[in-house]
Order: sequence, then C-alpha cells, then structure tokens
Amino acid sequence: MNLIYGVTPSFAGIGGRSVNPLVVSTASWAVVANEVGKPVTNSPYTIIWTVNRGTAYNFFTLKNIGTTKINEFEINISQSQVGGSGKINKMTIELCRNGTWDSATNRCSSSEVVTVATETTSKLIFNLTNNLSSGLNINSEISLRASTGPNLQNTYATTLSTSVSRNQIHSATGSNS
Amino acid sequence: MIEIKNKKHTWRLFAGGAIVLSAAAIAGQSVLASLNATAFNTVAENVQAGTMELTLDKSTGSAGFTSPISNLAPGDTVNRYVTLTNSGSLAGRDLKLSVSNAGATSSVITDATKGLQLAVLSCATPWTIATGTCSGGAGAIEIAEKAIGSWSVSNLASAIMAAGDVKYLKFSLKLPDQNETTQNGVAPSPSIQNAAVNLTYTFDLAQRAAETNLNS
Repeated sequence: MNLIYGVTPSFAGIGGRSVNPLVVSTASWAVVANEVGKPVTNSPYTIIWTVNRGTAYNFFTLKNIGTTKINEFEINISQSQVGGSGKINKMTIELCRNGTWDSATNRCSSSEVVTVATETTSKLIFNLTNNLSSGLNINSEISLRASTGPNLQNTYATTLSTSVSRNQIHSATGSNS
Repeated sequence: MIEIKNKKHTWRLFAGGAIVLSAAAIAGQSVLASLNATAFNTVAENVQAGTMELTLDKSTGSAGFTSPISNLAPGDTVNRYVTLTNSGSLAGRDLKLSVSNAGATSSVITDATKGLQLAVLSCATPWTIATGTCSGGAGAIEIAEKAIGSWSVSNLASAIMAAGDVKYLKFSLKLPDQNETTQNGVAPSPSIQNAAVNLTYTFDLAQRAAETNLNS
C-alpha cells in the first residue's frame, strides 16, 4: 500500500520576514535664548531696557534643545528704540565661561568672564569648540549676562535671534552596529 | 453390408462423444476459476514533500534589525548585518527583497531624494562588522541602492539558494546630506529633523524548478 504524505505544488514559495519593524529616527539641532528660570518659548529673546540710573542687568541662557551636540551657532543681535529719542545706549553681553552667572550676587562662578558682544554687534558666531572646547551638549546651557547703563532719553530693546545649521553640528559619520 | 452399417454407426458414436466432450468443456469454463498473478512491495514507499523555510537572523556582533537606529543626521550612515539561511529541505531561487515603510512622521524621511537610502551588499563569508568589510570570495557585492520609498528588488541572488545555504548581507542605511537651519529652536516645514519611520524587510524565496528524476 502506498502512503502519500503531501505533494508540493509547483508554484510554491516562502518568505522570511523581520518580525518587528526597524524604527529609524533622525536628529535635530536647535539653540534658544531664554531668560533664566523661564520655560523655552522658541521665539527671539527680547530685552527691553528702561534704565534711569545705575546699571541694569539681564541674565539669560543659550540652551541646546536639540538631540545632538552643537559645535557652533549664530546669534543675530538687533537694537531698536522703543520710546523716547536719542541714540541707542551702550550695551554689553558677557559670557561666564565654564560657569554660571549668579543673578543675586552678579558673579560668574568660574570667574572667566568674556565679552562676546556690544551694542554695535549685529551677528555673533559662537564657536563652542573654541569657547567651551567641547561643544554644547544636549540640554546644556551657556550662561550670559547683558548689561547697559542709564539712559534718560529713551527706552530701547535688544533682540537676540538664534540659528543653527546642519554644518554646525558633527560632520557625517558612518557606523557599524 | 452389415459391417458397413456398423462402421458407420461407430463413427457417429465417436462424433457424438466429441460433441459431448466439447459441450462439457464449454460448460466447464463457466464454473472453473481463472488464474491471476499479483506482485507488491512488502515495505510501503514513503513519499514526503520537501519544505521551504527562510530564517533571518542578526549576524554575530551586529544588532541586525532588533534595535532602533536613532539620531541620524544628514550624511550619516548606519550599517547593520544579517544572515539569511535557507533552512528548508528544498532549494530555492529568485530571492527577492522588499522594504515597506510605515508611520513616517515627516514626508521628507521617505522622499526619493532627501529621504533614507538603503544599499544592500552581499559577502560570501561573514562580514567583519567592526570595519564593515568583506574579505571573502570576490569581496562585497552591491545588490542595489534605492530610496526606501520604493525599495523592491527581484533576483537578489539569481543563483539557486540550496538547502542550508547562507547569505551574509549588509544593510547600509544612509540619510543624504542636506542643509537645514533652525531659527530660535524652530525647524523649517517640512523638516528632516526629528523624523521617524518604521521599516519592515521581507525576503521571498521561490521554489526551485520542478524536476523529473529518471535514475533514482
């Protein structure tokens, strides 16, 4: 008696499949200027100066809110008159290098204070590999202080707008994993 | 005169007897059994269908397709390594690979020019994963490089993939170089940044051509 277990059809085929989809995601690169202790607003940072006497200070940070380390970024700085007349007041932006400004004591924790911009600066290219030697890591911040003297003639605003391009993060990499 | 009559009578007796015997013979065929002969195999012939099965594994030392690829920046390339085995009993042919994508969070990541590009390479021996090099046979053989939005290749290997054959494959996923500028933390729209997609790789192997074995 013959036993037949099965006959393979002549058109049969079979497949192998990766069971779980492979998730692929991309990086992002972004720096924002923000007032210390305030939530990120994703908009230009504007300081409005109304100074009658003494020196006014404004403490803010430049923060990496992307997913990759940043080597360089740019800040466009503009001054605009809000009220009054006369020329724009002198203004200085200082970096507390490798440290943090203390708004209560007006001191830089590292004592390394670097002037990075004045009222005549329209664009600041912040090369972090020079200033910080290792770039700005994810969620890391740079601590800055802007200051200006009294101006009885007008009120003006200093606006900082940040930008980061692809070529200002790490160069292309290849990896095996 | 009497003898002649007797002889005639005897002949008739014989004829009659022959007739009687024939009739008996004819009558006898309807009741007597015919003979048959039978031959058969005492041990049943076992017939089994062949099997077709493809096994996809990550290569030793590689994550294969088991862990996600994240934080790709334009220009970056990530290589993953898998082994594909014909683990069935039948030879196969016309190996085909198709890649489907789903859940793209940005149209750019599947774009034909700016989106992910996939190159598949084959090596006769296991890849040296640390360096991504192939030292076996004729070296690395590129099978195809296409945008993932339209990845489907027939005849990935036109030769027969015999039972037990193993293919060592390198999947090289690249995000083309392109520039984007983020202003005050806001990326342009649409953007290649913070994009994600799910990729499923499917291999199909067809059964070998039907055969007639005359000498087994």
